[in-house]
Amino acid sequence: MFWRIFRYRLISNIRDVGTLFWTLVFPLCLATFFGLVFPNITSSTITFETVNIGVYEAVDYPGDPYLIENLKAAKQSENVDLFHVTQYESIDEAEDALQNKEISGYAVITDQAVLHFSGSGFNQTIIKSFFDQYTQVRSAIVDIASENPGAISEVASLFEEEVEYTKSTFAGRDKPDSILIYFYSLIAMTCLYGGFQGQKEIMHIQANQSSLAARQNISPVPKLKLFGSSILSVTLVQYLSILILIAYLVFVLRINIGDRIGMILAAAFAGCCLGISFGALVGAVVKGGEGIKVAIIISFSMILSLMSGMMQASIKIAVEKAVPAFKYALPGNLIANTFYAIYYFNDNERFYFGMALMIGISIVLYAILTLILRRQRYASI
Amino acid sequence: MVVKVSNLVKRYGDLIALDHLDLEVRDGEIFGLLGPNGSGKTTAINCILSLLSIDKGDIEVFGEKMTPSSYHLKRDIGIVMQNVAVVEELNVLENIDFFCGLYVNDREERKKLVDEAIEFVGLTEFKKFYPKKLSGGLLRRLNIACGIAHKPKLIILDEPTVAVDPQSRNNILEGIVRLNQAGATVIYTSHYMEEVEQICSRICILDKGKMIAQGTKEELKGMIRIGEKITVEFLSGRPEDAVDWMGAMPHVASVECKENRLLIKTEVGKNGLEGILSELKKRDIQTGLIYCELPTLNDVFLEITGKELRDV
Ligand SMILES: Nc1ncnc2c1ncn2[C@@H]1O[C@H](COP(=O)(O)OP(=O)(O)OP(=O)(O)O)[C@@H](O)[C@H]1O
Ligand SMILES: [Mg+2]
Repeated sequence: MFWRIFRYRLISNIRDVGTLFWTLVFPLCLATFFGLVFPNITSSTITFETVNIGVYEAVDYPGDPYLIENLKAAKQSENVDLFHVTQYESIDEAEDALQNKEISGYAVITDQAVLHFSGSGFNQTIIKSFFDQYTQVRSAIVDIASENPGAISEVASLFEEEVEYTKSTFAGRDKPDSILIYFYSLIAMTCLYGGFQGQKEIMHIQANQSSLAARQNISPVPKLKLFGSSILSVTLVQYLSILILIAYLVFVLRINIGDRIGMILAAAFAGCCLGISFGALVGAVVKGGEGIKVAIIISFSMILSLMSGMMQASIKIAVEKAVPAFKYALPGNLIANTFYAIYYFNDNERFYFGMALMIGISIVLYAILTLILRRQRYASI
Repeated sequence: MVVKVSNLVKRYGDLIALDHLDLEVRDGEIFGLLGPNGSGKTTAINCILSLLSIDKGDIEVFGEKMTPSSYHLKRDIGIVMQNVAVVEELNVLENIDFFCGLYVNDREERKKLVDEAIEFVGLTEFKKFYPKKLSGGLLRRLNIACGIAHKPKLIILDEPTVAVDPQSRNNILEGIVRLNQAGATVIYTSHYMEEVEQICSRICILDKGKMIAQGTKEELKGMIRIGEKITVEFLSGRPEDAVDWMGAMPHVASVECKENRLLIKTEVGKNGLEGILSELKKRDIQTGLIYCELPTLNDVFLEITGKELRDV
């Protein structure tokens, strides 16, 4: 019984072109559009390699025993160094190497490190950030040392901290790429559009919402069974839509979304559950016709997608800066951030946190729905 | 007793949709629920099916109290709703199989039932059609097939013939009689009294949520004073002048004048036609067309409520 209802719901959902437009065709169109807007998307997503950096120590400078050591010690991940350091005998040599693109930049170390770059790419940003922080910490150390020479042993630990800090800032697996924000939020939007599907299924089983539902409510099939098989079928259809979208991004638009496919698929599934349960709840709770419910789901999804950076990556950053909790409280941001976590961070903690939150919220929403659906008689239909 | 409703009250806010309704549907009959639009027929059915919450009263189906989770009772009920309720994305065959599948698990058995239902409503040629491609009448037939495919013991049809051409309507009515002959008890709602008169063995007339009469056709007609309705066309003389003396005749219940015709209602059990004809002859009035009708349920409704069933 369960599986027959499931099968027929599956067939109906696959044939429901109107809904599939929003949950599949529309995201594909947007993806294509983004692909056209960012044509050099493939070239800008090379994986992040160790940065070649040159160092020239001025002869008359007493030397900073920690700088080069720290440069060499900085890691971008467990086994990969952040910098590959080459020491030069003269500024000219270093300049030549820079011109020949052997290094991304070099530092002339006097009492203050002076940086020279060619261009303003990602590698240069890393070098600059490193030195900014280094200089800050160093001046702090110098202050401490001059006031309290005995505390010199603490200096070492301060440097260690600094290295740590560098690590977590740049310890991505891949180069942070703001363009990817658009695609992640697009996937997040598609997950949220699963709300249409959820709403539709509720309409099919709440007798006061359609005569089709009334007819099924009169049958000897318990409502929660109808609900279970409907939601399962719609989750499958929605998940397939998302898989198609991801496949389109990877194979047609050739966007590098990272290599941890298993995690990406898991996050997409959790996001999909979140979207469907949200839509189902809107369908069950909001009074009014289908039009109103669809309008709520569309506007909600669009606003959330905007906030998660779909149209302008800076919106996401601004939103999350203004209210840090939105990183997790807004479903769109939550889904998108879980994708970033997979892509950028080696530690799986953020990923698991995002997953747990998405699944947890879905479970809570479904629990509320079950309570609502258990009411079996209607005051009016 | 297949369905027993006692003292049922259902309100929608301030509106009393069912006002202390009592119904008894007996095993094997075609029970007609007749009433004008808005009289509460659909509401009554939805209450019986436990879809609607009720404010007061008791409902029993197959001798047991009906609740939303009386799945064993629901198994034997088939419903054809007033609004067409089919799945847009499934074709005729799939729709019937889907609804039948909510009741019947066995695949072989279901296949047989579905084929029979398709044949029964005459949709064999349209098996692969999607509901959108079906005409209004064919869609109604699909709606019926979806409700009855599992061969229920109790079939409830809520105005199944609305918007159906006379030919298809007759097919549907005949079909319902066949289902009844095959053993099903039928509850049939309609605001067409002709249909109800044609197929129902017992009838309940509803008006504004109140039952105003219940019984067989004959019993209902016996409740009113009219025996026959006689129409006389005047070729000479003014029918207006005849109203008074005609009304004074014994057995004549009422007289009405319409253009050159006189509409006379006689009392039950007396053959008034003869007396009227001889009286006309005596007064030397030349008459054209004369015809005589038996009272209809409309007359019953008119007599009790003071308004015509069709007017409402
Ligand atoms: N959901 C509802 N909310 C409020 N009032 C309702 C609702 N459904 C029906 N009514 C009112 O209850 C009364 C009975 O309606 P019902 O649909 O039962 O009539 P009906 O006899 O089936 O009419 P019809 O022949 O038009 O189908 C009507 O006055 C109607 O306006
Ligand atoms: Mg009705």
